[in-house]
Amino acid sequence: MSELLEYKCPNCGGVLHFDAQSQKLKCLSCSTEFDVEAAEEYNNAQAVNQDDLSWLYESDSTYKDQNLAVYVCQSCGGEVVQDKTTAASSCPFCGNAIIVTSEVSGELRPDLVIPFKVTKEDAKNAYRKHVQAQKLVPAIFKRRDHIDEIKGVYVPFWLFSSDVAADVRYRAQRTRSYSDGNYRYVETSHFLLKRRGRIAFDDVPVEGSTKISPVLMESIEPFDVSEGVDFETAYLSGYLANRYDIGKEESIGRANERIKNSTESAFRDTTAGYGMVTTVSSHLTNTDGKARYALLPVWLLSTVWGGKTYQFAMNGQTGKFVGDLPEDKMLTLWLFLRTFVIVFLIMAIVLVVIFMTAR
Amino acid sequence: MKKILALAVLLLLIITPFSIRAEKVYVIDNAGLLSSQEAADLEEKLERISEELQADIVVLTENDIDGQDVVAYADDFFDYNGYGQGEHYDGVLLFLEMETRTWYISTSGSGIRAFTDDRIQDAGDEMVPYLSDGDYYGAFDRYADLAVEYFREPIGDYMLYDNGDLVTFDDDGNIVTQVNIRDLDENVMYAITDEGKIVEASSLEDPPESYTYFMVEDGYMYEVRPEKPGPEPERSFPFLETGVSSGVTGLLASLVYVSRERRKLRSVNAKYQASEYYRKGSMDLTESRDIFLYRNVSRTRIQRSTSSSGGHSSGGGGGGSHVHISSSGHTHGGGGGHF
Repeated sequence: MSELLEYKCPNCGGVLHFDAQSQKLKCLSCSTEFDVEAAEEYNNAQAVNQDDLSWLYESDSTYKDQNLAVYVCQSCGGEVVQDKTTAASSCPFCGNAIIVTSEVSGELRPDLVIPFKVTKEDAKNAYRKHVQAQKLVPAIFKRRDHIDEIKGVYVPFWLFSSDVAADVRYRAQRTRSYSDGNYRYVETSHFLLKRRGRIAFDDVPVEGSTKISPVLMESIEPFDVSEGVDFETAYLSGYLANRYDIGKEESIGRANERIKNSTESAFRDTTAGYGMVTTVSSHLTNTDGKARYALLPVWLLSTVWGGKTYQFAMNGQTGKFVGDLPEDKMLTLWLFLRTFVIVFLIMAIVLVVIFMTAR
Repeated sequence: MKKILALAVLLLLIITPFSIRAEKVYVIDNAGLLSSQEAADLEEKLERISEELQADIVVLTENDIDGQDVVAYADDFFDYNGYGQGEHYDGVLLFLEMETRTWYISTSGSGIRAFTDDRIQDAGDEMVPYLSDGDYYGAFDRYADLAVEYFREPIGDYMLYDNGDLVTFDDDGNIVTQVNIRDLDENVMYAITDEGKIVEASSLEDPPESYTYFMVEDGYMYEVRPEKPGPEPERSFPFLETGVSSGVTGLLASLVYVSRERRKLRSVNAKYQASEYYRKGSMDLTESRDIFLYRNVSRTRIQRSTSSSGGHSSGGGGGGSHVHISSSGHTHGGGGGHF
């Protein structure tokens, strides 16, 4: 049985959402702010009284889709259908925050969460800045304004830490040139470089939801995990959250790939005096490997243009904004021609002036 | 009895010079660069062409002349060993000194007009690759062929002595004018006509290529190419060059600028490494070894640029030779280089 959690304002009974600016829970009605722990304590006390209210998890026959689940909103009674893995959302009818605690408890309980530090306003501004500065984006795209649809989402990540023992071999070359008046000589010496040692990595992130693009999430790295806190459901309130559906074992491959590349590169930096150095073989062993399950804050926006979906993401902690943009080929051509003509004229005038004064 | 003895001695004295003359050696390989077969072949060839050209074509090699002057050594060897045919001692000697790796060609008589200064350098350029490779026979063979070519078409228009005396020839090799260059006007272009006369080049309406042109400056004689007399024509505005350079610059600039703007559209990239998650100070190498495997050496020959001495050499212009008087009192031209 799942529980839907809402955080009620101790002051006025209104709805509490996590406020990124103040890093506290803030009441939507009376704007009073509360510490997360305080709100937790308060609501736990309330929950004791709500034990007897049951919340239905129905596998309704009309919803045959295995991936969906149905919940009933505590505030308005409306039926909410959402993805099974969604742990937090808002009721489409009354806007109330919905937290599905079963999706974040027990095995699914995150080890760590980084609360939102960047507000929706910040996200909207960042998006506008990202797009307006571009010269080649179609004008109509720039003018479209469904930026309000930008969503704050806690994205599930696996954070891998490991002490790595590595044994890497490289091929290297060094060349020397000299001449004796009649011939020019090039002498190439070939070497085998062996490097063995230890190197450690902490909290290498691998995104763990099939619903969210992993490349997009890698683009907004890095997250500063030292700002992470122990998970409390209160942080989720007011935001969307997904729990992982890609397991630890499936994710470790990606972390290993990145760690391997970094190790080969770091060891390569210890070689000096060679022209070309390439990796021949590398053998890495994870010792003391640890994985943590974390929910990290991301602002997401998705938009469709010309039959393609464009996704934008902003790191909810650092504010880094990414997203590929569509290109208007006409604008590109126009920019090319404009630049060509201007540079051509400038160059021609300069040459004419030089010719005249040199005579 | 005494009369018969005297007659026999007289006969011997008369005959011997002839036989000695028939034994004039054309290949003197003191440095031992040629095998006996090569030396014999070359000797036979030089003998043959010397007879045909009526000039002695000689090759001399030495290992080490103990720092003596190469020019004097070559000239003296030619003079004091009786080389040179005819009243002007026509001939040419190629001298190789191995210690300093020097080659030198000494010319005499008609050889001065056949091997002009430019032609001597051209001959050198042709021979040096052979000499550097150790193919001495090949070098000498080239020299012999060049001698045939040059003597058949002697093009020297003048001889210039160290003291400034200038002697001009007509196309048949007769001396026409003798003047000292200090008596000529400086910074005026002169021409030596095919008849050997010295005239001012500006007086010629259509300067023929077969004349040799020169100027005197600071007491030196410089060969020059002919230029059209008259005022320098106005250089018309180079539309094509301006258009092309501006066009190319414009093209490059717009390509660079547009690709930068296009690249700004992309910000989503996978991360190749985990470098931001490296725990500082955790890297520790327990073993670090650089092992040498093997070595390759490749080489390319350096292209030698042909030296030019102001004017152009073969073909039209003619050109001439710097000459000097050697210890024997004979006039020699010459030039050389290293290998």
